[in-house]
Amino acid sequence: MKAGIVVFPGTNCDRDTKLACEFFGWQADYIWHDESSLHDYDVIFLPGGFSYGDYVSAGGLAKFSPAVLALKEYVKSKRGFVIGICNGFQILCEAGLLPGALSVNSGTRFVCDLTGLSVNNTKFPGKINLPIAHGEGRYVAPENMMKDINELVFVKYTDNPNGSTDDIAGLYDRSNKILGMMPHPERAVFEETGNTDGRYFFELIEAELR
Amino acid sequence: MKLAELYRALNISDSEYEQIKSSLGREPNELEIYLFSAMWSEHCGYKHSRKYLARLPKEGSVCSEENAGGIQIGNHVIFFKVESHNHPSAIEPFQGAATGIGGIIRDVLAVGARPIALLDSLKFGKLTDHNVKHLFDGVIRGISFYGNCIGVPTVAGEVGFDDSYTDSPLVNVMAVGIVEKNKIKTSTSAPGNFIVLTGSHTGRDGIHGASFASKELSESSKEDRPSVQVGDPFMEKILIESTIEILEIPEVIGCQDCGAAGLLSSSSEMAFKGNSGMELHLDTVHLREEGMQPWEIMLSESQERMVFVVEHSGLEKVLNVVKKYDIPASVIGKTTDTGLYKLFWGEREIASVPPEMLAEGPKYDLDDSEPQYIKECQNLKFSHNNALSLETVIKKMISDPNFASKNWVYRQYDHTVGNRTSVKPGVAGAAGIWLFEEGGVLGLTIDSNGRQVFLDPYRGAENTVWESYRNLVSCGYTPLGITNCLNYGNPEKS
Repeated sequence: MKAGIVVFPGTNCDRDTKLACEFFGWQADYIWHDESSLHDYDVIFLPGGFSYGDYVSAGGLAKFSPAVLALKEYVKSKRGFVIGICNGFQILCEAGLLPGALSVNSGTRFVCDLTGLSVNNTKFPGKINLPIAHGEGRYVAPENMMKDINELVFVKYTDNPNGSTDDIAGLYDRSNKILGMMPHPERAVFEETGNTDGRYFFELIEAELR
Repeated sequence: MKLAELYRALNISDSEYEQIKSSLGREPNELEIYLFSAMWSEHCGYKHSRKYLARLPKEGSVCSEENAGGIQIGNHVIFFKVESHNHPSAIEPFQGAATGIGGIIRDVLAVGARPIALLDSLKFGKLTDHNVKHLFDGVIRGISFYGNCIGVPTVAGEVGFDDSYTDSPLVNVMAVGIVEKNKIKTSTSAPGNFIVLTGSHTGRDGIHGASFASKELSESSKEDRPSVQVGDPFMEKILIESTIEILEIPEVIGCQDCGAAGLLSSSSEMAFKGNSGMELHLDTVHLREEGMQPWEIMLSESQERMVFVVEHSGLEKVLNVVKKYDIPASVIGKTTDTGLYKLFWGEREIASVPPEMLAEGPKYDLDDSEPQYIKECQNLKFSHNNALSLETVIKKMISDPNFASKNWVYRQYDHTVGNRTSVKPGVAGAAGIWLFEEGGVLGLTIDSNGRQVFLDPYRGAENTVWESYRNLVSCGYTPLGITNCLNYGNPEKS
């Protein structure tokens, strides 16, 4: 298994993601934002952080980067699996690879917490907990799209921390090959950090690609 | 302006001016007066405290004379430092606190350490005061904005409320970093090398920050707002990554961040510590705006800047890192064997002073006789109100913001980024950071007790040390090191 972790200037969960991938015995390489081909990799991570400072809007600049243009090619060729976490989810939405958008939390403040989640997959337990840490995590989409979007929802908050529409915390694209989510599975892999519920997501990716 | 008017306006005393004149053997020029005013301010020169701070024990520490001190754990060194950003936070709480984080991060970064944790100790007036609410909210948002963006978890801290902090909040921030022992770099230099400045463009923000920080706050302080620096955490993040890469280049022999008194203090300290002369060409510094005067360039406290001393053969490697991160940089001068710190504008020499004169300002004794108020306080009589029911007392206690949960604060800080946080805020007396490089967990705590120190400085300080110890040992940690930041009023005022 070969994972590629896209690093934009301002990305700050790249090292965390590499550590988690290596726990599962995967090879994990950093991919600098100016890379134009991602075809060497079985899975692409868009990690959390503040790509290019997120000064225009979260993910608003990253969508123009060579790496995201290469990601579109990667998706088109059905090469492998794509997961965007936190800022990565924001980028996937901005780039049009997932529907909807992430807006400022309803409380207007950054929220860092351990949050309860239910996952639409029988391989997951009924409820898991993952860390969240974001200022712009409120999932929104036009009302007339919500019926379609609800079919794609994969992760829901059990106690909505940011005002997301229909408690949406993460969703798939139609092909089930692109997953975007605000919670951080890579921060919940090691016993030393007190929570290992994130492992289910890495196991899911392994199963997807087997 | 006459020279005498200028140096007095810049808080240089007549006797200090005489000292400058006799050491130089001539009248300093205008620019040189600016240099001395910044380097000899309390904030940079510690002129009233150096003598006392030298008494603190340092045995067993690594690099105790650097921007941050460290302790060794296995093959790694943990660097840590705490600093206050009180004055800027009182004037502009969001930027004041944010740039406090930026500054302390660069102190551990300058030795080559990757920052892995932040802590903060905050004191405000009572929350019933409208302005206090503004300060409280601004400071928390500032720390959250900056710390979260650079991806360093804020893992522990304390928040206290007392009337004595109504107009002067205390914002103390601590950074912790880790580096392999053989990769440590220091603030030094040697003759015959390039000086490279990386990071933000130098602008007019924060000019006189160092002398401003040493000034007393007053009603007119809000007019000092231009002295407060503005932070750009995105620049800091790429500065962190690029600096760590640059410091891995063997030909890079010294590094220092631009903190108080900006380019002036960083470069002159490196010249002093490395026993070399230095020539800086101010017309080569990358600037944010046109028409900046040499003294403005030297004293600017624009944030997110680092200075490196680089051997000729390493310059291209440094510039390659700079290019990768697309971070602004300039080669601004070189080290020399003249023993003098010289500034140029084009071909014209505009200042020339020995670096040791800048670095080693005057030292003063403090009048350390016991102030009258301490005796008065010791004679205070308190009456106990036994009429209160236990229920009322408990309700009073738990409704006091000092006692209440600080969840509202640390929920706004990313405290799990880094994949190291073993013990989160709010769980125990000390946070726990997993050191996956060495195994085991590093315990971290920050504490203060202003009231006890006010009533009895010796016992108050002693008890603060013990309290920190108790926080650690009660969670099973062995205390390994301690640092401090002491927040006092103007030492020149009796």
